[in-house]
Amino acid sequence: MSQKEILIDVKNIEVAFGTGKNKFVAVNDVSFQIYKGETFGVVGESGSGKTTIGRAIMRIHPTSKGEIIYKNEKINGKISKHLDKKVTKEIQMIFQDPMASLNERAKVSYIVSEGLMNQQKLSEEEKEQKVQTALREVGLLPEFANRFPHEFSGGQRQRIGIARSLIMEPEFIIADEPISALDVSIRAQVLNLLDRLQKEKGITYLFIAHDLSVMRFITDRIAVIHEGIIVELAETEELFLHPLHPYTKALLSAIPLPNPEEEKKKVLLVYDKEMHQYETDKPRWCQIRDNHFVRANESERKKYEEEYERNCK
Amino acid sequence: MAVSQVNLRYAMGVNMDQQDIILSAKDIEVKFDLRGQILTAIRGVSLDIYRGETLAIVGESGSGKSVFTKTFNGLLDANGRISEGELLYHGENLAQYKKEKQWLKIRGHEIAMIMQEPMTSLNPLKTIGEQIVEAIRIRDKKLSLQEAKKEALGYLKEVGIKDPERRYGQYPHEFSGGMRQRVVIAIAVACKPKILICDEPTTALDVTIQAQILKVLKEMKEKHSLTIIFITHDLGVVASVADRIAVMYAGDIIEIGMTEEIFFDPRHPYTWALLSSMPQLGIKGEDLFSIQGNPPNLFTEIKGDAFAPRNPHALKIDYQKRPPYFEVSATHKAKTWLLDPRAPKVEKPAGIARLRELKAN
Amino acid sequence: MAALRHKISKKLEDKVSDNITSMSDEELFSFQEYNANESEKTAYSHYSYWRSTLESFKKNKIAVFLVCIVVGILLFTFIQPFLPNQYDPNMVNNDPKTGLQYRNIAPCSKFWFGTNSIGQDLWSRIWTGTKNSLLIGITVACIEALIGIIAGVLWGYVRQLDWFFTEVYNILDNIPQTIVLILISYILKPGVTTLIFAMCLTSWIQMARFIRNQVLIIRDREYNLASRCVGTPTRRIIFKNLLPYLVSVIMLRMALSVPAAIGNEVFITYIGLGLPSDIPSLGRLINEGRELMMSASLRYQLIFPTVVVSIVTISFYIIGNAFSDAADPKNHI
Repeated sequence: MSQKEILIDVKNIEVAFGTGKNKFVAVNDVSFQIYKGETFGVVGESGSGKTTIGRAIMRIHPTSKGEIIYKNEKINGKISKHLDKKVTKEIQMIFQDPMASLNERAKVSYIVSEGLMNQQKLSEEEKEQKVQTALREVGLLPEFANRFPHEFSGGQRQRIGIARSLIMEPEFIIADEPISALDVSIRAQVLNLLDRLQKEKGITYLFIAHDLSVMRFITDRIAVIHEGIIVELAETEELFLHPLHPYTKALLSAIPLPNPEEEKKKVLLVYDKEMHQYETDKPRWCQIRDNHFVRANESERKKYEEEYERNCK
Repeated sequence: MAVSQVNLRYAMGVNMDQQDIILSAKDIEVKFDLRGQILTAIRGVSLDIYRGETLAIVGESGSGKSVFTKTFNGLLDANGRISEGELLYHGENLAQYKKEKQWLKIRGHEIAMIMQEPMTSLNPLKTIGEQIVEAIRIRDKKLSLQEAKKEALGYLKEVGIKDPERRYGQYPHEFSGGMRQRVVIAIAVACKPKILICDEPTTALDVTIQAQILKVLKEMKEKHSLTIIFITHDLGVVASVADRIAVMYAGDIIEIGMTEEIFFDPRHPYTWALLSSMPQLGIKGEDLFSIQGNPPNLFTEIKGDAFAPRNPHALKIDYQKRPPYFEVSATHKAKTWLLDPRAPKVEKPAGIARLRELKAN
Repeated sequence: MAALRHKISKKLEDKVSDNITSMSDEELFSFQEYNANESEKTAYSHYSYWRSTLESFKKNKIAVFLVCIVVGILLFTFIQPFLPNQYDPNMVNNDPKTGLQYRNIAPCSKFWFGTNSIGQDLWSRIWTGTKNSLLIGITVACIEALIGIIAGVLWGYVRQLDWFFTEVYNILDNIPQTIVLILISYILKPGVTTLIFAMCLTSWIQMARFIRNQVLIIRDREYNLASRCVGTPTRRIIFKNLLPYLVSVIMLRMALSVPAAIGNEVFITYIGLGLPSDIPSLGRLINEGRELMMSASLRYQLIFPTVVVSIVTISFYIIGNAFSDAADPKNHI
């Protein structure tokens, strides 16, 4: 367990937009490690900075502090051409809105092969071959290559987006809410596909979502983020069984249960950050159990420990 | 019950032993002219909506759930029309309405609508207070500004907006998505409609906010004795709010029943698929149940059961003949040949069984 | 319930005779083989952006009519010199009997639009003038678009260049175009090239600014981020991701540039700095006509060229607007 290889190591990064008075810190002192082959989830509401974290690793947003280490090499800030090419190939992103993330004026074959052409010179036949393989891998028909994106449904378009990433043979994929814009009936398709690809190719995922219900099915570990700060981090089952931070509890209580009887009885928890007394007793990053961390100050930490004990009984 | 209502029911020719029907759609067919082709978006849907219930219409995008409800207040796009059927509301056939003026009496005052994106129904240049007051004074022209303002503050408080006096004078852009949706609800309710159509009101919102909005809707329904039609693609969302669920597919209601019946005893393979593909029911490491393929093309005439090409349990007859409704109980019916006595037995997907276990626990 | 079932089976029996189904009940209620690939197939929607644009443009009957008019006029200006009984537009026509010039002859069967004060045939002058003015307008629109698009895309997409172009814009935009036009026409040798040069010198910045604003709107859309994430170079993003989205708005701008350029030409010639007298243009004809405006019998010399200018200008405006409506995918019903 402890011998897992660290693929990506995010150390105290800060991402800020604007300068001076208008400065807005979207991500504040965030650290986590992602092991090779696992699915790491980041969950939080809109505006929590979860997308910004993904985009910082993707190097779309520059970081203002901290380091992002990928395979023992720093990839944020200025990097060499050679490393840039390598990272561009090995780290891929799947976007949230399949309606907005495909170039409407280009054919599917161009969209899917775009990244490949930036990496190497390929003959038309080789390119076609690779595009067809990628399309087949995501469960689409090879003849779709000559069509335009607007002819496809949301689920199919999202799979075209996945094919675009896959063709690069990535090691790490950042999936930024890949299913929240899709119909529920289509979500399962995409989740199964991501799961299968991980099993077959050993791809590591950073899975970003606002909804914990999906997380339980797809992730190994989860970080809960609120207003740019990670408040709790634990293995998935652990987090669902022993949530500690009140914000995590609020998120859990909001998951819609597919059971009308339970759902009608459910008590909805609401999180208000005013509930913490952090004026004198400052919060720290505390370990409550193995691999279970929570942001708390000293008195909260004691409370959480007691709560955990009680829960275990 | 008021005498007029009884008379009304006579006028509508509804059986006396049935509940009080507020809106009745009969064999509604909606067609669109699209680039020289004709698209049949709604293929003969009949639906009775009872006073005071919350009916959820569930289906994926393109199933016609929004189009169907848009016929209730005349909001079909210009190239669409009700080509057949009747829409009875208080003895009037709304399907015959041609002029915008006729709809103005219905829209907002009798049947109001809440959209997915709150900004589309708010005026960015007016304070939210003004917008609610406007709605109140359209309804009740005699009301003074002071009285209307007082009422507006009441509505803001009801939908859970803290510090309503201060919020009253603010503009929509000063509100978060969830708060805006509350304001939209307040405006809709201020018109005192009988029916409130909610078209995916929570889809664009975070889960925590979504749960709160659902709670507000439930409270408003009780307080103002509304009839709510709730449109969504997510069965999970409606478990707590809906009394009855209608499942739509390819422009037709393929199964309708009480919420418990749909969740614990679904009969149509499409309903099975919808239920068991919910990620909440997934088990880590195993594949989630998923529906393959795409909804049918509504430009061409559909033969048989529209779901057949995507249904691993499809029968030959599904490709030949459109199934009628088979009644499962007095309140539950489904359009699938699997309910025919001659049909072979089919195992439901594992997820459905898991739902039942959930119930048993 | 039982009755219902009975009714249904009865209906079914009817169906058998309908020859839709020639199968037995048993066969009808057996499983159909399931093909996952079949369910993946989508209906080919046959939607094509340009075809739909054309379709909705064709619905605007006035615009279509005006397109025919403009194309007709342009074609006719080329054909006209080769028709029988045409005069050279610059030739001064003399009466063979008297040897005097045919001065200010009102429209007649010999000179269809009459002659001007030195006996040149107005009919041929108008068509040659129209040809020259239209070609100037179209050339200006094309040059403006070419420079404007290149500058505008760089301005909008490459952040480092933003301040540079903004400064250039601030300078150029503060110089009134009329002054530039007058100055250039005054300094350089009068001619078509000078005129085109003068008009393009500053007007491209307006096009560039317009393109820049459009690029800013779409530059951070997810599909562009996606292209950047797979390492697509900027040049290819511009040609494959940005410009295809802008074609329709660029066409509109170009359509509106043509009448604007003709208007400028009329203005410059009007104040006496335009084309040399041996190059007829609409501006020159209007200027000549204006001088005679006060005598009623000679007013035809003003009316004919102004009618042509009006038709061309209005046509381009209406066509441009109709096209921009048609090119908006929202209107593709």
